Amino acid sequence: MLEQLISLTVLCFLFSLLLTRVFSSRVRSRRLIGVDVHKPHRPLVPKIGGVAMLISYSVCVLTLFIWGGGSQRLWILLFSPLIASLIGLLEDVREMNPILKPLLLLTPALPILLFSDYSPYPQLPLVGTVRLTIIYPILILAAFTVIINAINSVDVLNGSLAVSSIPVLVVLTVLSWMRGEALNAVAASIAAASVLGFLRFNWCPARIFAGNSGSNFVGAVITSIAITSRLELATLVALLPHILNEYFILVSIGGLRSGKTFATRPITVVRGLIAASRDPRGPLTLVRLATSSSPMNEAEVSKALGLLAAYSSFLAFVTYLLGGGRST
Amino acid sequence: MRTLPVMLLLITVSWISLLAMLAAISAIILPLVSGVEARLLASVLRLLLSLTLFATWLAWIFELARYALIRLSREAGKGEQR
Repeated sequence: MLEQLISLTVLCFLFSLLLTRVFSSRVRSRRLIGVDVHKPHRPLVPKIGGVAMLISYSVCVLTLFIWGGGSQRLWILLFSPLIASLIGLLEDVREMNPILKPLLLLTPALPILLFSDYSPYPQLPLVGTVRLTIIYPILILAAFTVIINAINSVDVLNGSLAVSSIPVLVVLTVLSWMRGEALNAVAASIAAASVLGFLRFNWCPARIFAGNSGSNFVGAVITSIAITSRLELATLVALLPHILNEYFILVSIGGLRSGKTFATRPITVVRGLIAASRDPRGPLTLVRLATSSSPMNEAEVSKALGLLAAYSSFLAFVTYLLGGGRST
Repeated sequence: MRTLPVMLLLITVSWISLLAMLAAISAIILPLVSGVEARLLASVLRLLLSLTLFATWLAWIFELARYALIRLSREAGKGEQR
């Protein structure tokens, strides 16, 4: 399986690189273009990098299906991200109701529930195994919508989605491999490669955005792998920066609302630098916190978010060693 | 970048308190989910206590982040005045 992991990871990286390049230079449809609001000239940038990631990931998962002899698990790892990404694409081309969106994001959980590929006995550090037979399927539904929205909440700057999700996917690769879930390890590695290929054209100054299709894709891949590898708690710890960011925003603005309706923005752009808003009513976000002592350029803030994700991924590894991973 | 150590500390505190909170909730709610606790009133109290603990954790993390933001902003403001 190690040779499949290495070869498919390399293949996925190259494929994602090629597709992202093509999309960044060819897409001109007005519906698929967004404005880079943090640049002085406000350039127009295609926002379907997520589709490039999805296609490269899906092709490699299908290759693994043929190469690895086929497995029900791969259908889950294919369809959950596919459903989530298509919902994101729908949101990219037309504004979606902020209440309807979380409801629609319950549907990527359906492949896992239909195939019953989960075990409702999570193991917690210091406590041991907990039996959650009734509530666990409900938690799976909630996990998809919470994690996808959390990933989406950090996709605010050039490169921030990619640099903050690659460490999480890498730690999921390592932990899945350690648990003997080789297919999940390959899928996580492929996903990391597809995000890395995309990052080449998403880093400052971005030539392409991930869009909601991209953040939904990454969120669904992480959630599917976490549940099927039985790495729920470790993943929760790895995603602490993302989840805290989303939680801070929700509390600050008082519930589910579209970001476009904020009365006060959390940050402002001053001479090309990101500066924290001094308005106490502004939403509390990690980017605002990072820039609160002095203005920073976009790349520096993205690097800080990546560093936070790398640190929380390390804590996820420690959590697993403390007993957050399961033996059954 | 002076904010990074503060943010790393915030993540560390969140992580430690998350594990402690989950351990406490599990200990409280375990007799309920495993069927050992049969008394209705005790079950309801266990559930309420778990929810209270979770809500307290959420509130504590948010206040901690807000405190960090206020402190960093004030220090930045003093620096600008100088």
